[in-house]
Amino acid sequence: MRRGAPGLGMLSAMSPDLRLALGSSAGAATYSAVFGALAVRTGWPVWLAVLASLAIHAGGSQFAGLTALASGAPPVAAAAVGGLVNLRLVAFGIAMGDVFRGWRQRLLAAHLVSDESVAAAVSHPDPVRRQRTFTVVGLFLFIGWTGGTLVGATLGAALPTSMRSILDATAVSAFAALLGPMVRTWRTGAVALVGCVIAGTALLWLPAGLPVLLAAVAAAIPAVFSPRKEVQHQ
Amino acid sequence: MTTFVLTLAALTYALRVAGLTLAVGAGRMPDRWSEATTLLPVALLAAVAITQAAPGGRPQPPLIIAALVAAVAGRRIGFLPAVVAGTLAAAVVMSISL
Repeated sequence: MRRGAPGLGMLSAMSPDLRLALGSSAGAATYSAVFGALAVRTGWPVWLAVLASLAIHAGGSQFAGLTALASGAPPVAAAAVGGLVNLRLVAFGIAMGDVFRGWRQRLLAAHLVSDESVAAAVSHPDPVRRQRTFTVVGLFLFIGWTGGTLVGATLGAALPTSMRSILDATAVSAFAALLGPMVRTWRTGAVALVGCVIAGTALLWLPAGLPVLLAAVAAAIPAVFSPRKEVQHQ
Repeated sequence: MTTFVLTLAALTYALRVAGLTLAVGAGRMPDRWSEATTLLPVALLAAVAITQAAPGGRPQPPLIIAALVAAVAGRRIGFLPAVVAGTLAAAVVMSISL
């Protein structure tokens, strides 16, 4: 038997959920390090940048709010901007489906709802598997996001700004890599295309977050206009 | 700054709880609504991907290339390699355009 690199062997022995979680966490940590560094540059103390990632745990709104505050917006107005960006989390929560038993589980799980954790989970039709994937990916993402902010805020201005372009490409690739396997029929392909067109067009006039909500309309269109038939869940 | 963090944290948590709570009723919805919620992740993921690849509505070629490469690769070689492939493709395009 040929010997392979020990690291590769260990990686392939891990569960798919763990591999996915580690990859997502590494990406999130790198991205959140940029948030930490930027927050410190605009005058935030390190502890506040870390608290933001711990308590909010939603990168898009954190960046949007940071930008709004830096341009002079009052704190509540900046929070409202962030809230608009995060409106899509309602749709992602709905997309998870009824996989949590009781109020306590839902209240505990809620903080882990994010684009990546839900996107990873909903590729599994089985509710048990879906809940497990969501929890594993969500926890690792949370740890990576918060830890990355701590590193970035501590290092401060040491992170090169040229890293942002590569981080943007990593973020796009992560979502596209999750979407690709879900497009298995002409119907899902059409929904993905319409979602892209709606969101891409709305971006010209609406702030970040709202175009994603409009794209939810794309999901409703085939359901409204298709003839009644037995629904096959993916 | 602290007011911003605490306000946004409370707002975001409320939105998350709302989504999971609304999901409870999804299983008892008519077939059309069940199909809509099945297709919902597809539409949302596509929208998030285009939002990232075209910030402010202006498509960035390296990011579009990254998305296309990662989407195709994700169907064949798994999530993490697809992310790496997409990122590398974008890096190549960025270096060519410099």
